[in-house]
Amino acid sequence: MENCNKIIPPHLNAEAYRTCIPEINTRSYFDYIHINAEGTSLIGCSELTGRNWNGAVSVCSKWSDKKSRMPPKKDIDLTSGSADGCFIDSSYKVLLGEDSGALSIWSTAVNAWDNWIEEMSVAEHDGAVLALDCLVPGQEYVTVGEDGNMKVWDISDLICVRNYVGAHSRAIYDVSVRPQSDANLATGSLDYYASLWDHNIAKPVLDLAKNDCGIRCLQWLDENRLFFGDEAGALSMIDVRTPKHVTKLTEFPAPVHKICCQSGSDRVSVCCDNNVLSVYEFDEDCKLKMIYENSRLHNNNIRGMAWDVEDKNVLHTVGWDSEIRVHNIGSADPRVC
Amino acid sequence: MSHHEISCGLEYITTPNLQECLSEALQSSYAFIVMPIVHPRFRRSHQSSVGTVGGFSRSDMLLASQDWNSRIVGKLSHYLDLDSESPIIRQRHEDCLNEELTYSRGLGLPAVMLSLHSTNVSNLARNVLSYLDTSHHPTLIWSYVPMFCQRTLRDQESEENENIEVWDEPWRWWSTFHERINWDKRVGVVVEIPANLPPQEILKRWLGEPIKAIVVPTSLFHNNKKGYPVLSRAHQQLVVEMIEHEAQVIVSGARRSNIEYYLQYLYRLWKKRPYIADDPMLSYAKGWEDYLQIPLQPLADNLDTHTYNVFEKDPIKYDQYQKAIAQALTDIQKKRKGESINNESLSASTDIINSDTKESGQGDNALKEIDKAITVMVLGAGRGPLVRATLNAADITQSKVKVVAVEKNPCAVVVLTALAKEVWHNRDVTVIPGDMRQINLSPKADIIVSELLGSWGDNELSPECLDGAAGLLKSAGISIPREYSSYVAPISSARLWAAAKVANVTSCQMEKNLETLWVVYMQNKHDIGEIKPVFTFEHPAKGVKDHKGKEVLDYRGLPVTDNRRSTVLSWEVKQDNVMHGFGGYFDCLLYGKEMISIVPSTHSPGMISWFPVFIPIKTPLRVKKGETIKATFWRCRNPRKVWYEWIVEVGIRATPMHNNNGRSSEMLL
Repeated sequence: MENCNKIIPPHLNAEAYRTCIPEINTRSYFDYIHINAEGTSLIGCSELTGRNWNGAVSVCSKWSDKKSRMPPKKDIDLTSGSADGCFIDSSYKVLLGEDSGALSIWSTAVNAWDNWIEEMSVAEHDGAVLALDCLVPGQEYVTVGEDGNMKVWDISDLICVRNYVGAHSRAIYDVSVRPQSDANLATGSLDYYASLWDHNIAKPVLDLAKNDCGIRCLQWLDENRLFFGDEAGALSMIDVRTPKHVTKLTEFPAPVHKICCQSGSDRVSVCCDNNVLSVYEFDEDCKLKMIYENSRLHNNNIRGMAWDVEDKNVLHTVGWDSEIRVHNIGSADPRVC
Repeated sequence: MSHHEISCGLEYITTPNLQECLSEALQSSYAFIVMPIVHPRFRRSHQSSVGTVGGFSRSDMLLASQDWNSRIVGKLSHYLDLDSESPIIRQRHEDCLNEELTYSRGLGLPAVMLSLHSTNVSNLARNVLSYLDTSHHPTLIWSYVPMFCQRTLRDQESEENENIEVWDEPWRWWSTFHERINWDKRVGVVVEIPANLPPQEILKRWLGEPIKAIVVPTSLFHNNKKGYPVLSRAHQQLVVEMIEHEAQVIVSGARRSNIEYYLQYLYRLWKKRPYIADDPMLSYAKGWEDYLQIPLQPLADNLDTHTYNVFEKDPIKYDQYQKAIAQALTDIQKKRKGESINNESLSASTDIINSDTKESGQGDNALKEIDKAITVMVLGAGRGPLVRATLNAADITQSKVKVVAVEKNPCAVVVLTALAKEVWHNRDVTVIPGDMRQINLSPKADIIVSELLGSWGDNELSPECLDGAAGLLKSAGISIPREYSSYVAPISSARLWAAAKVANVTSCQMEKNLETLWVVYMQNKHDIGEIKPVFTFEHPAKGVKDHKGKEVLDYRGLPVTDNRRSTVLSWEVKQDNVMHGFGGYFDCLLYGKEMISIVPSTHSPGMISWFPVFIPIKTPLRVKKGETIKATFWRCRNPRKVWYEWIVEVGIRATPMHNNNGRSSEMLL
């Protein structure tokens, strides 16, 4: 803040603040982390309280467990925040949803340390893009937003191929593509509904559940069972074979923010609007067994979780304290990196 | 006169750099921006120390304070759900809401926008009410609702017949919320224009609501041949109609085109709207929309010169009177001719042409009768417009008239005397000061002309005045006006109701305001039922009959009249609505075929003398489609005063009796 450190007459305090040009990023809230098969991680962050509500994304190559690391440098600067993003095919191409309602594709040459270039950007959502997921890798992706709309994109030209206007009557917080399917997906919204969609059909296939409060997140456990978390802090499960029948699994003291299922296992990690990470094992009797809980590694809300691609016992988390943490689920004593 | 200008705002999904966003909008000529008060993804807890970083939003020093209090409409966080089933959510979101409201108050925002999602709004309304009660800053609350409910549509499954329910639902959210906050006028509605427009009756109902702004999503626009964003014809009409009702326009959604183009288009749309200035009433009423006035009491109070000046300017009313007087003069002449012929010759069949030819050869007696001046009394002559109309009518019909101007207001008598002396000195004009009910004149009048009607017909005591003056008229004489009726229609207008409630704070009870007739050029209202007649009066009036069927006469030998009335009216409700009172009108048959009317369907074109009345009810009534509104009106009198009472019943619900014994409003005799 070059001109902010000059001697300013005290009565011009406000004017000085208004006209000074601050450094690009003062502070960041980490919002999500995704790790692809190559072990490269994508970390999105946003500024939510400061002068400029902008965002940034970092792409980090696979890190080794023992090395302690500083938070990574920002590779992509975004004009607004980003609530979700994902890799496209490789570690060199990402799809990012933005708070401005824009969806953009960024890529870099062979190695991830080169400059990232925005290939395409389309602003069609009438509210922030809150979540996205992949239908057909490298081809079709789905986004949902604060505007209650859901859009299916052909990302080769970033064209919206199906637009579900008013898919929900309030903000859609999460979307999850059904495992073993490239057409079925589930959405959860603040309008209390979780719905099942087929991207070949314009209307919802069915409402999976009408909750008693807004749904914040959802995730498939397998092709039939779906977890969802809500504003009241309840984690529940629905089986699509018996829709409308909701099993409440457990309750948290804060709204459930994200659910992350480990593929090929019954492990599920949950974070809420607090700094506690909980990991459960899910058994066939529809019971959750807590196998790990940690509230020491982050000192602000945990926002993103990603399972390690190699070590099944390792979970990476990011939070609003701008920290990336590694949790070793196998051991009772989680490690700090 | 705010509605002459169009005021557009631009909604930002997010404002990454607030200064840049605001200057971008202002440079494109938008008047204000709508933006979130707190970052919509910044979830915070008020119970724990974890996650509190101190500042929950950006510094207000970013903008100058005049920008905060004129250019920024703050949007409350979209996720707020104060009426959730879960007590913990209600509690958490209440804390967030109050934090955001308090912050907005600190910033001095002109308006704060919140969203409604259901008819479960009690807790939200409670919090907003406390905010309004404790806020000395005039922040308005804008309640956003869509125009149709996607969820209701989906739940219905069958699409083929357009169900009204999808349009009723969001209106109900708003209406319930508005009811919960006692129809406070600081709370208005912002409605989003949908891609498919609703049936006309739905739009009409919205036009009766206090719409502060309409949201026009950029997705409604399509590109024309030149690539500029334009709206469909139906949307154009609706947008213009909304702006005419003083709604501001908020352009929202993704930037599908240059934001400047949207604004330029809206400006053009507003400019090329059908030109309304051709209607004198509309141009006269400009600036008076929904402005409440207490009805005049010309009998009890003397009008001042400015009031006379305004009413004399009516281009239509006196023209109608002049035509009516001319017609009456012609008819009297014809009748006299007929009579003189009958008197002279006993031949049974004489037509007028014959009588004309005979006339020249008639004796002196007959000629005298015909040539005798017709006596026209102008009762309540004011500053003389009807005297002028009478003299004109006499010239047009080539009749000889003797005009007697009776006026009780000493100031107006001064003017009349001057006119009689200086302008009409070669005409037969006599000025008689005094109350028409108490004077006795000879010869009696062939015609009495008066203009004593109020906005609701008899509410300025025309019947009492004219009955009192009945002794001045010959037995077969003509009264202009001859007959008049008052009319009402049940209306929905939270705006008028709220304005009436607080209109006269000096009056000891607010309740009184809701038992009073208000003269107002009503705009922000919606008719729930059609207009129906209430009370009718004829002149000369027929007297009451006693138990033997004989007409009762008073000490002067004049028929005793009874101007008390009561009428029961009913309407079937066609659409769910909220009734706030009645719109009141009148029409009047002057003479022959000459009418004056302020009943909307027959309104005398260009006549500006009367605005309608708004007759409130103390407790607004929610009415459902298919129900029957039953209203009873009474016109009561005692020796000192006249007043109205009224009551409304819907099913088993009823309002209290209004204005019992004239406790809140009365017309003094």
